[in-house]
Amino acid sequence: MSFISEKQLAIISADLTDQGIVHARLKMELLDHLCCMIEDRMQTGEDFETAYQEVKSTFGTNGLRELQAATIDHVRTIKRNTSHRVLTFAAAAAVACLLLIAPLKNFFGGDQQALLPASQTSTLNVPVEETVPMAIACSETALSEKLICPEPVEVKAPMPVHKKVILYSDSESVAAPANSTKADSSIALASYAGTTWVSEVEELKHIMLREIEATDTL
Amino acid sequence: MHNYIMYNCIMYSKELLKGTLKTIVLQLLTENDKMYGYEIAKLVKHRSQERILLTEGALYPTLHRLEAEGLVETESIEIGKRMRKYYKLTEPGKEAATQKVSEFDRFVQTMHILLHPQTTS
Repeated sequence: MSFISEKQLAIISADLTDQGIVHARLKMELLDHLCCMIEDRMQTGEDFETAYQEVKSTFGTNGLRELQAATIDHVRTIKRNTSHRVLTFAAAAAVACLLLIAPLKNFFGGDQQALLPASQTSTLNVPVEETVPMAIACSETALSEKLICPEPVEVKAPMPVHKKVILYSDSESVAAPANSTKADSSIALASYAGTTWVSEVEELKHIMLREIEATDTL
Repeated sequence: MHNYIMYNCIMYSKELLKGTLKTIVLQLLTENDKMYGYEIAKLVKHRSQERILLTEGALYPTLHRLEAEGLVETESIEIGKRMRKYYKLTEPGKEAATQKVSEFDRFVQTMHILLHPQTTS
C-alpha cells in the first residue's frame, strides 16, 4: 500500500537531483527507499511533510551525495580489479603462447636446414636457442651410442640431413612436441628445459633410434 | 571522507562490523528469494533486535558491489508510480554466501576459544 502521491514523489525526486544524485539507478533506489521510510512514518499518523523532514534529517547535509560517491567508488574498484585480472590473464596467455610457439618455430622454422634434400652436403648449423641452455644437439652417432653432446654442436655433412639431426636434451624435465618423431624421417626434436609440458624423453629416443635404423636399412 | 557511511551500526564499533555486512546481506538473500534495499535494512534491524542498524550509506554501496562482482542480479518492478529494485543471488552468489557464513562461524568459534580459553578447554 502506497501513501506517497505522484506529486510528493516528484518533490522527493527533485530534491535528490538538487542534492547531486546523478547516478540514475541509484537515484531510483534511493527514491523508493526514502518513500518507504516516509510511508512507515505516515502509517503512524504523521503527515507527509513532517515525515519527509525527519527522513531527510537522518541523512544530514551531504549524506546522500557521500552515499553516491561511495557506491561509485565500490563499483569502480571492482571494475578496475576485474580489468587488472583480465589484463593479467591476457599477459599470461600471451607469454604461454610465446612459450608454445617458440618450440614450434624451432621445430618447423628453425629446422629448415634439416629439411634440405638428403643429397645436399654442407655444414649444418643446428639451431639452439640461447635461452634454452639444456637443449643440445646430437648427431646420429651420438644418439645411437646413447651419448649426449654436452654443448651445442655443428653437425658436419656429408650425411642425409633429413634423418640425421636431432635437437635433444639430457634433462628429464624438458618439453618436447610428442608427435615430432613421426612427422617424417627428418627427426627434429626441439627440447626445452624449464617448461611444464614434459614428454617421455626416453620413449622418444627409442622411437628415433628405430626410425633411424629403419631408414638405414633401406 | 564519507562521514555518513563511517558507521553502519549504533551498538557495535565499525571496526568490529567491518567485513560482516557482505555476509549479512548474502545470508538474508539466501533465505529470501529476492529483497530490496529498505527491506534488507528493516529485516536486519528487526532480527538483531535493533542492535545493528544498517545505514543506507553502508548498505547500497555493498549491494552495488555485490552486483558488480556478479554475486547478485537485479530486477526492477513498478510499485505504484515508482520503481523498486530487487536483489537476487546468482549461482556464484549462493556459493559465496555459504562460504562467507561458514567462514564467519569458524571465526566466531576461534575468537571464543581465544578470548575464553578457560571455558573451552
